[in-house]
Amino acid sequence: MIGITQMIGIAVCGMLLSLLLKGMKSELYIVVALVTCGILLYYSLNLSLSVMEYLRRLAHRFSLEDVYLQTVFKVIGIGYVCTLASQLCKDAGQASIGVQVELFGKLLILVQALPIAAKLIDTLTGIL
Amino acid sequence: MGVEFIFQIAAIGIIVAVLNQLLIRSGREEQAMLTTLAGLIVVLFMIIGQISALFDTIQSVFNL
Repeated sequence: MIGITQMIGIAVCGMLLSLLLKGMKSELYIVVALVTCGILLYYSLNLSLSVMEYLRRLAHRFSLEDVYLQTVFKVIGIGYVCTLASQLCKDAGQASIGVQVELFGKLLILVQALPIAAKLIDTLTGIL
Repeated sequence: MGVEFIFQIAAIGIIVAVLNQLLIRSGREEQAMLTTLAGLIVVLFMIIGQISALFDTIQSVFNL
């Protein structure tokens, strides 16, 4: 587990090295950015684990169905990865690829969320 | 896995960039391009393992 100062240290080091490599016209500047993002994402995953555990306990207390929470976590995971990829593409100057990655991520999230919406509508019509 | 991994890749990048300039100045453009390509491939091989580990972690955390 790392604190906020280590996190900022890693981010600043990665950013400076990436700029240094970009100044030297080396294509590896985007790889340094990718590795820095990967490491920071890895550490932020540890944080989100505790949040997810708390949410799961909360859901059990309100006897909420498990499938809802699973979908929420899936959507968050997809959001994490797609944002990382699309921002990296934009950093490298390939905005068009970034847009496609975002589009794919949104559609994937929609696919995950539709069954839940359908179930919600069924319960609503049942009540009315 | 950590900061030293970033430094390794940055070091390789700097060395490759300097070698590239060196070779270009000495008139060997082909070797320069090949050196840059080789550096890129070596770095990509290094990070493939780490990236797959990261994505496995994400899949296990969010059970995608």
